[in-house]
Amino acid sequence: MFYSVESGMLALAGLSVAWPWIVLSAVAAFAGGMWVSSRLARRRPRQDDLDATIAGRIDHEFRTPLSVIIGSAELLCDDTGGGLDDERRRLVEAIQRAARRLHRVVEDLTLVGQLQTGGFAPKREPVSLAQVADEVAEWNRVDAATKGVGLTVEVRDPAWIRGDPARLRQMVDNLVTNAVKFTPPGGSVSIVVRRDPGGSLEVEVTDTGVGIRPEDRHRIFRRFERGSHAVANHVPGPGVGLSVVEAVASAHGGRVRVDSSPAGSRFVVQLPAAAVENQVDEVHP
Amino acid sequence: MSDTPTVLVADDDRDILDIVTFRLERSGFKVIRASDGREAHELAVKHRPDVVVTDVMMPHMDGYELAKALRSDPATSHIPVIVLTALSQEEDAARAFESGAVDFVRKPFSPLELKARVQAALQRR
Repeated sequence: MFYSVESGMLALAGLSVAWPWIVLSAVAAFAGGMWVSSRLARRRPRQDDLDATIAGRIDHEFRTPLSVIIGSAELLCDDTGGGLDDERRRLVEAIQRAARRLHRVVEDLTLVGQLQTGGFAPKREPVSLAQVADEVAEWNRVDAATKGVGLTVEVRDPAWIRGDPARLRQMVDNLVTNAVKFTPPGGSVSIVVRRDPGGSLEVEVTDTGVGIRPEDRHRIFRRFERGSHAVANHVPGPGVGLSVVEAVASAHGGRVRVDSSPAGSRFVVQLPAAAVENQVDEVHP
Repeated sequence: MSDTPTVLVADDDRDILDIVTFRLERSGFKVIRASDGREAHELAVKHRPDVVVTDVMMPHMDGYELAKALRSDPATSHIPVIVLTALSQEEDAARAFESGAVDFVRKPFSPLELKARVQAALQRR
């Protein structure tokens, strides 16, 4: 699994952790040293430990340079420090969007590391899923518009839940980002927030994209695994987004279901009524 | 607090120092810079800033040790410390607060948000 990661960035980072074992194993094999080889096999870290280590290193090593990119771009766009003409402002905004994509990967890998080490402890605060949906739509609006994909939000019911706001945003963002990524120009992506008859809250992300093959529908929720369409068409991504979606939903007592056809996909995150907060929220079409 | 609040910023990454300095100076703060924990401690004792913003992983003295040292010295114990770090785990935040920090900001960060947190720390004094 670890070696199948397609992103060059991840593969290099992984190599930096795995190389001593690769080199030592090669030396042992060359010398015919089966005893040495078996000793190495016993000492070799478990795959899950390696994944967590790699995720942790990427997480830490990327955060400072990302701060420089995001911080500098923010200061350049700031009225007090900018004075940019429209063309240059658009370029700086492109830097901000690219940095946000990298930040998203880092946050996913952080969570992967926390899940591996048992360090994921979601907060329990009142969160408006309507607000989450609006924020996520706003983050993805430019990418969708640039691609010619329509993006809408519909909040049908009050949608407060007790949960981890950052992780819930990450969960919905991963779904919407994927939907935009796999929807061709002229298509559409919609986010719907509603209560089901049993009182559970549902966040539904529907697209008119390429769909998910039946044989991929379980695999795509595994860490570092990707759907065959993504692999065949070289669609970029580390392959952790949907595993994060499932982990966050599960940590809130919820679950994720997916329906798909060649005409598009529909992901529904269902969060239990027990997690619902009785707060007033505006409903907007 | 003087009319112009002074913020001591400690980070071994010069680019981060530049970004934080730029934002805070533009917002009317006086900024003192340090590139490691020991230098930050010396400057804090000497200048008694109104707020300290510190990285964690720095040469000579890390941000946790800096926060503890400031907290244990009556001359500096009143100075609020904000930890600004690439460490992202919950236990990192817990350790920062145990060391005496009043706030914990994860990198990547928004300079505007950091400025707001500095202002909030000043108001809580």
